Amino acid sequence: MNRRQFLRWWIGSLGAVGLGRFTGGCTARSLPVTVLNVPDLDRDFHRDFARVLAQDNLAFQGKRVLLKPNFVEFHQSRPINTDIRLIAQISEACLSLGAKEVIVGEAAGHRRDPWYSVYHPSLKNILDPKVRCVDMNHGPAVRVPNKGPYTGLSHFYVSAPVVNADVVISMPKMKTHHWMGVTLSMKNLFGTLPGIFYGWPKNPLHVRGIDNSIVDLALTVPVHYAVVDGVTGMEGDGPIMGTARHVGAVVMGKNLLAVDGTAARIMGFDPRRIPYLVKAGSHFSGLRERSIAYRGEHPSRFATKFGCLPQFAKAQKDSLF
Amino acid sequence: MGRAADKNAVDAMNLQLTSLLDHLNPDGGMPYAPGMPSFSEPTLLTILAFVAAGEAPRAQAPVEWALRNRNADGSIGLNREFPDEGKWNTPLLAMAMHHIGRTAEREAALHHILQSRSLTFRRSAENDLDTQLTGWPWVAQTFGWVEPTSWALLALRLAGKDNHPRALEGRRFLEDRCIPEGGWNYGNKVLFNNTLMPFWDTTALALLALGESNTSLANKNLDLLERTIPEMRSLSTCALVCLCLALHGRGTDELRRRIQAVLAEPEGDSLNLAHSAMGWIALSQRKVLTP
Repeated sequence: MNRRQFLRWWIGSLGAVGLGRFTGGCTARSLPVTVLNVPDLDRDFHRDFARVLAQDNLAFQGKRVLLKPNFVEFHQSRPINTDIRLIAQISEACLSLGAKEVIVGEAAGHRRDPWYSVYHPSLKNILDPKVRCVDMNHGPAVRVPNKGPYTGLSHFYVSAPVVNADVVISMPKMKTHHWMGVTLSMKNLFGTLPGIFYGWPKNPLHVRGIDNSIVDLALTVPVHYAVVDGVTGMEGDGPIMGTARHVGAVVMGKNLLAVDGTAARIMGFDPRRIPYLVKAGSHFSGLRERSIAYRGEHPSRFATKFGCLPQFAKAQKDSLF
Repeated sequence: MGRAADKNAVDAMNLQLTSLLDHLNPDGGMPYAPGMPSFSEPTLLTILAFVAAGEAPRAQAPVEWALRNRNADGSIGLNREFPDEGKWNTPLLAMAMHHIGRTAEREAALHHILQSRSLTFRRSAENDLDTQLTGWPWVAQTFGWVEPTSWALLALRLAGKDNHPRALEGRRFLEDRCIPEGGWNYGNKVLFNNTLMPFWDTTALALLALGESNTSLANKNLDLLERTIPEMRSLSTCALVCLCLALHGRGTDELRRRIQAVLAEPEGDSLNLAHSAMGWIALSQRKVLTP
């Protein structure tokens, strides 16, 4: 999308929102999800990201923002992690909107050594010096009552920087997952729990059911926004051993289930056939495609049927939009 | 290097090590990073760093913190606020107590370690683990993993309990978790027919824990570690690999240079004081993790 197209879309969608208000917000497609055309991250899109964040009425002025990327493991040539250029551009967008502080925080799930996640020199070198990186695996946590019904856990120990942030943005990589089908902004919340409380991997969440833990965390951890890195995703045996798949899209929105559902559809998965998304649909709106108001590009433009393990092939469909 | 130069190097190192104590909290414990509350892991590793430097009495404040934060069952959790979480720190407590001559506290910690067991489970088609072997978990009532099993084995070995049935099974557990092509990660080797990637820190830790018990397995993995030294940059990885190679009589000069360089850097946002303490332990050339 070039700047002129973006402005045309922006003005148009402002009108659509206005119409929605005029009709009492009763339009069926009431959950905004923005899909941006981002063919590569060598170009700077931070102003476009800032416009979307502003349009989604996310207040940044004077706020403390925590960006939660996915750095579950590290391999030089595999697209396992959220692209650091996207993290840099979203952090720039937040600062341009007046954020007082931007923190990039992660409690990596497999690798204990933070040099391979938030302390990697390549991340530090690309970020604005005002942006701080925090290894959330080794540090304080806040005991937060579990608001979900599935794991039976009375509480979660959520990393203190997450609880103390005014705005938390989940920034997953668009990937398949060999246990769950897809891993997106809700599954990414495993990385808000410190390893010193849960281990490497966070096995207490596994033994209570990964799907149960995802939904309980989505109900408990205060997350305000999702930005899915779908520029280059991972297909096949994700989230670690899969292969790169170029999509060229960034999916953004306030409603995590609507964002994850949209990203899943782009990957060729019907969210209604991904059990944890269905479970989340009992608590959040956004599972049904007709509940989503697309902004920016229509996601069908980016439809890219991701290769997956055979057990998830039945969750895929050719036409999801 | 002559004896005088050796002494100067040791003195300079001890002076730098002393700067670790600048980060102690008023309660005598050590945080992971400045501004945080005290946690067991950096505190116990600080004690071991001073033991390794032959300066154990200077770690009196962290020792008192550890003694105050022990649980009645002999274990230690993350800190006083979270005494029931993070009991994987207990092997470090046993090792610290061993070196400062607190036998009763060491034995209580070892008793807790021997009571702690990972869950076993039915063999699954997705991986090739021997799921009936018992190791040690990060969290009670969960499965066993490479790092907590390694620390438990190190604590048992230091206390001369190398031949306890749990230690023997723990070593079999680690041998089983070795990736076919070499190395260990957190504890899965093959999933869905894909061989997973090794991590160098857990590979070194597993080899430290196995000691000389399986020479052919050790040699294969030591060779792998030596080949990958050029990739190693982080303090914790360099420190653990340095300790591992030193234990097995391999060269550590390059790693020692890197550790010294990192420890000499100005402290930035990425400071982890547990890793700093491990770096000092590696530089000391004295064995504190193994007999």
